[in-house]
Amino acid sequence: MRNKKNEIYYNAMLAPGMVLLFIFSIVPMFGIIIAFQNFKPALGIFGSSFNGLDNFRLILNFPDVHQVFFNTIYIAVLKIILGLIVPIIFALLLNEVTVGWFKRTVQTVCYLPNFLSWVILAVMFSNIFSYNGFVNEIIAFFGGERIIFMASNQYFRSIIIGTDVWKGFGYGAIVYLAAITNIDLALYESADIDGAGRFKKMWYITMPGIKSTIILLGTLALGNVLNAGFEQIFTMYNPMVYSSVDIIDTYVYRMGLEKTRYSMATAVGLLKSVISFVLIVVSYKLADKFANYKIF
Amino acid sequence: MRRKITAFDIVVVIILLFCTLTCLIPLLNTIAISFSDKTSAALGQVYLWPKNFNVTSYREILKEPQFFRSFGNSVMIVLMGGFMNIFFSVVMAFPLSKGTDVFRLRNIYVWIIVFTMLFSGGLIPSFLLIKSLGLMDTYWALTLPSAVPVFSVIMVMNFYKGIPRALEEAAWVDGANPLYILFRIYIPLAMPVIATIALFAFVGHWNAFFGGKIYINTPAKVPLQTYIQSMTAQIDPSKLAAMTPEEQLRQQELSVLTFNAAKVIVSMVPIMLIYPFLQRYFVTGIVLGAVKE
Amino acid sequence: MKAKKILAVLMMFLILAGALVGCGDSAGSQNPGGGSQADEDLMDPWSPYPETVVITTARSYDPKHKWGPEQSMEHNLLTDMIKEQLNVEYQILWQVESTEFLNKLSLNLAAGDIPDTFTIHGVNDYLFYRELVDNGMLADLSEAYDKCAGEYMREVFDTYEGRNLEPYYEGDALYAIASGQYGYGHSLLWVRKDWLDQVGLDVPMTIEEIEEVLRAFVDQNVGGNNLGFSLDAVNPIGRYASGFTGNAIFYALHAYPNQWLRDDEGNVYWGTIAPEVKDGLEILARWYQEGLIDKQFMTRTNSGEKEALISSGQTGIWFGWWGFPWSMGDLYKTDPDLELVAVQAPLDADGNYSHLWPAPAAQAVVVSKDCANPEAVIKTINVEFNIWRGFDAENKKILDDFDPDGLYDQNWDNMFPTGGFNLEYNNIIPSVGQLAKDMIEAGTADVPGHPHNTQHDRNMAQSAMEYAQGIKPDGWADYYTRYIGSNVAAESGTIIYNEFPFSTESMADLKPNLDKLTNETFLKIIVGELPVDYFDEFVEQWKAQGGDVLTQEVQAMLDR
Repeated sequence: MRNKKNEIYYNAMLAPGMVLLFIFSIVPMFGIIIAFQNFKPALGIFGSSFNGLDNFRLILNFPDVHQVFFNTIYIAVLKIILGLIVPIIFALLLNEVTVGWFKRTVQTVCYLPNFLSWVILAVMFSNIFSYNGFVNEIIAFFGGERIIFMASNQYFRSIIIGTDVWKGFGYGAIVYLAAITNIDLALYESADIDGAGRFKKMWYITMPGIKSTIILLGTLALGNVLNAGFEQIFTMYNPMVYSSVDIIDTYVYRMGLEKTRYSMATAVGLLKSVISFVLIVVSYKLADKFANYKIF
Repeated sequence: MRRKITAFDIVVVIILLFCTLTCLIPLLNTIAISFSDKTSAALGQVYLWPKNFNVTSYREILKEPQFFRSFGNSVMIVLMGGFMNIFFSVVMAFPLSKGTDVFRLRNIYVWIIVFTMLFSGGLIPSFLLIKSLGLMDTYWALTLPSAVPVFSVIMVMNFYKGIPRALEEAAWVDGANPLYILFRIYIPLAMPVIATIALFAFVGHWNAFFGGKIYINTPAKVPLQTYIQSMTAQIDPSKLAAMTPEEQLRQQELSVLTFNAAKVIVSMVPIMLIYPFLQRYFVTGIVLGAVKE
Repeated sequence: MKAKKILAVLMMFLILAGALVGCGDSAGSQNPGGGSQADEDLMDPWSPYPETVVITTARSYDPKHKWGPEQSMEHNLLTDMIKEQLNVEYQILWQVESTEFLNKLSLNLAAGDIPDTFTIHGVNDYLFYRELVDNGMLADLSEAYDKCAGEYMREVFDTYEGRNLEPYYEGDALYAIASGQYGYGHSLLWVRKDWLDQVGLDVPMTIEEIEEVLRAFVDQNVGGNNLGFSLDAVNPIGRYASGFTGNAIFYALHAYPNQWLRDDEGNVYWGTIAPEVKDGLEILARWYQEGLIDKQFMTRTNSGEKEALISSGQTGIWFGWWGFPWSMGDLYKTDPDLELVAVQAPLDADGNYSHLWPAPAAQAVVVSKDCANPEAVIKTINVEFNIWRGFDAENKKILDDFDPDGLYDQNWDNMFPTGGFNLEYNNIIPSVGQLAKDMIEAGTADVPGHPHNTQHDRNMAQSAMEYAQGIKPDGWADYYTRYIGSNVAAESGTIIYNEFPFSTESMADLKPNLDKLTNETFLKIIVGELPVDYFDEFVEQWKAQGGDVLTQEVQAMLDR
């Protein structure tokens, strides 16, 4: 039957990629065993003894771990929310521009940050936010007191979130811009006839029109919550701001390597994956139920 | 007929101008620092215009062969990894875009793939694996683990779903097998999406630095961003305090602001060059891959 | 059924996967010579091996180092000489920048695979060293050291009275060869002579006199934009050798922050919580309020920023080590006739000067248990320093002649297979200082000097002398470091030893937080955000947040 024959092709097309995924993504998962062991490098995985859930009990009692999980969720959630709102607003505003060259220039410039690596951006931002840097100059110009951004637990978290939104808003707006062009023009025309102003049109037509896109991107981002941006934070942080900005991944990196607490680090990593998984299942079900939308 | 300019228009323009400025200023600031003198930069006196204009930093870069070696390494990695990503995305998305009526195992595959996107063994098991496979210090270690870009696969899959079934059925009637259908029909139609995921892949590999840190042992093989990161890394102040004065002196000489700024600017050049050209394509591509009717 | 089939396939994969992850290929050391070269003859410090011994190692590399033509970390003139003299080759498994060295080592350790030999810091990386020892991964070097250590190594270690090796003995077994950390690197008070003359004051020796000078500088705005005195932004009260810290002021008040000390009953305590520290804080806070301290000091975190303050003429009095002038190149360029004064100040109420002493050990070389020829590493060190110190004059000349831009001098550790491990007499600074002094006073380079002086030392002392004679303006840095700085640092003073420079089990977890608490609190007190009396509350906080635990642990370690 055609079905069976085609299916062989389909499986064959997937095979090489699946093998790679298996080797490089699934096999390392077995290393999670370390989280349940009293791992001693000299003995390796097979030689180290098991200590059940001891590692988990230990980390749950660690005050640092609570702070780290809190930071991760706080930073990630804010990044998601702002990462949704800002591009949407930007797209809506950009959509209102009719002067071609202005629109294109703004777009070109604003898409650029997305393509720069955090290594580069870290250097740029450490200059911009330094005491005598650009931002502080503006603050001083308006008579305010300069702030030591890079060392301040109060502000650094906002910088992390802000710069991440900054990096992605231009590019993120593309999807919304595209979705807007998909909206039936007739809707706008009838709104004109009813005498609706620009703002009303935006609110009652454009916004609902891109609703499904918003939901898609939002739910995809939800599953990514606990990632919170290792590369960004790793290149930008310093010990002075650990308590506000240390996320699970950076904490695991330091604990696992510098302090050679391999078991503990792996346990924290495992907790993270489990929670991520639960979140994405939840968001999938939610999207399905409320928007009738199967993400995959 | 010219539309009247309303207050709304002005607000829109102001906000958009603000956005554009925030995107430009860090760039201008860094360029300015790279052309300034060491002391002014250290004292934080450089803003949008160089102070005591000089090209010393750029000349220093020319004297550092490793910078160019790393540049070349990154190009290689981008080509290797990029093409692998494109290949796997395009090929794997095809069966996944079929329904379970035609392809029974489809859902299982999808969940496995999504699972790998979320769960990871972590740094240490991945390191152990790469080591035991003998891939340390090779570019395979940097490209194979991420060879299947799940997000791109999903994007292409969505696009394929949107291609009318009629096309495929017509091809079946003519006796075509799935390979033919994929390569002769679907892929040509998917060019915009492919341009998009190609961009994702190339930029992703170009900007990656962490893999190079962990898996590359020979300094000559280090990719560009890893190289820059190793030069601009801030040293832990507590470690600094425990160093002898001689070591502190050495540390100081390593991190000079103007050099770092220059390196950053130079490494951005490829992206700045390619970017305007590709901009046209990726806008269309994202649209087609992500927006549902 | 289909499901069963899938399950079976999955099981197969599971087993395969487990095998892949678990079987870490342990590279170990590749030693074509096998393990049987531990002959009596071969334990002679200087004789070469009959068959080439290959030792694997890992190095931290300096991205800025410039190699000459056909030179690299793997193969350079020095490694060639080592091969020639000992028939030992070093194979570098991996290199990474120094800030990441320990991390990479740790990853490899997790894979159970460490190189034959590598160099870590004996004190900073002590916990890591302990992990290695506790896991039984290191080789016992006691026999190799006894039989193979060269004369120079023994002489140098003698000047430390064996304190450098003490922490690395477990019973009779020695697990690391740690170099001693030579002293005299404490912070001196440096002042610009021209500014002192301008305000008509003498070199300040007490806290009050320093205050007077500062006041004069600031009030008369000497230099055009006098900011006063700049403190370090992160560690305003730093450790042993940190520049720009207010340490010396505290020492004059008999407060020794950031050290473990013993009180009269022999109990250990952390110097930062001693009541005398409060007095020091009071002074700094007052100075800040009166504008004698740079108002923006806490923001100057850019690398080189504080030094830039000096070179741009915005401050003229600071604390720094004897070698500080080396970072003052820019200042000298703008003002070649600049005169600096250095003193051990401030003195305490009785006119005495006290200062700290570094931890006993610096870089430490360790050897893996799997290495077949651990003594080869010690023999390598012998040869390295035999050449570098000039005892092997012929080879030293080859290196000197080849040296591009004089960089090998500063970045010598890039050439050495053992990296930054340094053999240096405990009294090297005073001895070179004395040599420079002798030369300058005699007016000629032909003075007997100290038996420890090498040609290298003589060159530097001569450079200082020539500057003093006015014939070598470039010798400015040598003059101020080797003559002025070194001799001032060598002057007598009360030495306060750190009772416990190492780490305990909980230190890794608790100390960073405590240090942060300390630095933040002190910063706030200095700038006036918190009153000086807050110090008492700080002490309580410090104890509660782990200080007591650490104190107990340190006490336990010391009583062992």
